[in-house]
Amino acid sequence: VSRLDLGGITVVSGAFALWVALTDAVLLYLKPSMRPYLVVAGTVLVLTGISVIGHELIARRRGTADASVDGQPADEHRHEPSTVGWLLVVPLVVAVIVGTDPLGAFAATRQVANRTYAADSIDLGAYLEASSFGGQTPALRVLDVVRGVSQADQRPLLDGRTIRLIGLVVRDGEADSFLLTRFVIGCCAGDAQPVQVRVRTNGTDLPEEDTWVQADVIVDVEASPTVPNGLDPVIADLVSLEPVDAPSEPYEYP
Amino acid sequence: LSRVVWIYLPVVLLSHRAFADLFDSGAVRNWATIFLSVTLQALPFLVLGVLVSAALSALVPPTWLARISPTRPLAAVPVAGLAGALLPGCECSSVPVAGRLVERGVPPSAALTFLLAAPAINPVVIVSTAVAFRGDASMVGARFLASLLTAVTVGALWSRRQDIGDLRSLVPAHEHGTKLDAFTTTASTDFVQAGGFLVLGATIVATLQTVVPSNVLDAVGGSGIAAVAAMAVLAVVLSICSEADAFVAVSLPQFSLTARLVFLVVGPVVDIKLIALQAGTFGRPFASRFAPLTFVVAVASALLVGSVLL
Repeated sequence: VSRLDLGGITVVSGAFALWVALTDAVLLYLKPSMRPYLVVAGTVLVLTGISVIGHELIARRRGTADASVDGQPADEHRHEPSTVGWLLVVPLVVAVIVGTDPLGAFAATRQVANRTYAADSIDLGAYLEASSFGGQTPALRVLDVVRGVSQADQRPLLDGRTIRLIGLVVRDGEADSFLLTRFVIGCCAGDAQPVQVRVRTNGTDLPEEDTWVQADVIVDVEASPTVPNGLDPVIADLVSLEPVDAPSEPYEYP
Repeated sequence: LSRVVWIYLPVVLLSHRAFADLFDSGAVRNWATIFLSVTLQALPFLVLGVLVSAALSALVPPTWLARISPTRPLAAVPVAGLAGALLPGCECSSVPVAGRLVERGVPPSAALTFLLAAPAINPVVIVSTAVAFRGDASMVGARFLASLLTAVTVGALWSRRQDIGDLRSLVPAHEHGTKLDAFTTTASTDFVQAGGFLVLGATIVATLQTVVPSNVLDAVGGSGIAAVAAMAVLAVVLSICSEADAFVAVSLPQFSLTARLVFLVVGPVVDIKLIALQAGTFGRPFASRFAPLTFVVAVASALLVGSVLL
């Protein structure tokens, strides 16, 4: 790895970080509060790489080019990292040829587990009672529904009320229901955990797996467990269903 | 290799998703999302780490650090542990900094204590643990104590054999030219060296998360030896950022608090991403001895502290 390569790899890594950070792609991978850090890191890398390339080009013009470039004994001042450094171009290549996607149904079926967010408290009452929502159905996060159902004082607030959820369709072989799924991420998509509501379609056609839907549902408080988890999720009845585009912010945050 | 990369990279970029159909499978997309998120999540912290490390080598006179650090390794160990708590950031920052500290003559045991203490007991991690466990002071305290105990114990064990593996693989700082030249070349070198290994680590993490369903470990549950072992292995495999691991730990109520403490203590000091970074900075022989030692000490510390506090 010559000093020009070093600068080049640094610029490419920084440019990739900046590209991700300055488009909505960053929301497929990180929580939004990480975005400024990625912008700063990308900028620093691009400037550092340009400085390295600039210094090397000046040195070459003066004929004092670096040992690792022009073949002098390398151990005089050896500062070339190992060839593993080339791997830094791989993230860019993966993003371009595989594409940028949020976690899908595959991840949900891999991770269905008896995990729970039960103990987190939420004040659904303040939200649901405070506004008339301009005649619209009140929208809730899947995580809020799961938390609400698990809290004795919040549970009755959901009873019989139509709420609007947006999520990913995951099918588990049931003929008359699907799992409306969102992922909760603490830091990055690598620590994502699914939260799900089982939506009984009651005769409506099941939506395609891995598509996004907006579902107006009524939570069946009687049938839902008091401590919902991946194996024993909240149960709701479908009121109306509409396909939607994947939201730019596909994950929920604890 | 240089020519191959610089010629084919623009070609790949211009092809713009021409291959996307080839990779239209849930598993491949899942792999790519996890691979990119692990890499991007670590990137800002790695950049912070190489900037601090480059500043150490470009701005701090070579002998100064060695002169101010305590001569007796055992005395240096607790100081480094507390210094580690002050550098905010995840585990990815502390690896290049620790490498540079050793190169500047700081006793390896102290540098390694810093390496282990920095990610585990810094303020950001303490706050996110408190938030995830809703202010459960015993869990926050237990995590802090067990992590500090791990760092100090490993440092003390290592000080008996002042040897940090194959030090030759530490790339020396660039010490000629202007200050800016020295600073940017050192930062760039450290970044490319550590970053390549970070990508390698992210590849393994994404592959394991895609191939092995996490239900396998979740199914264990309980509070016995099996639960502790499962949580320790899960921490290594998942390679979750130490800011986020508490949120995962809190969502696994089928495991005992002590088993979850093991998860929180092991994760920031031994995981796949970190082993790859250490192998890149200190060499593979070092990583192959350091990681198992740290793993055992971390599990033991967590069990000890957990049995007293939880």
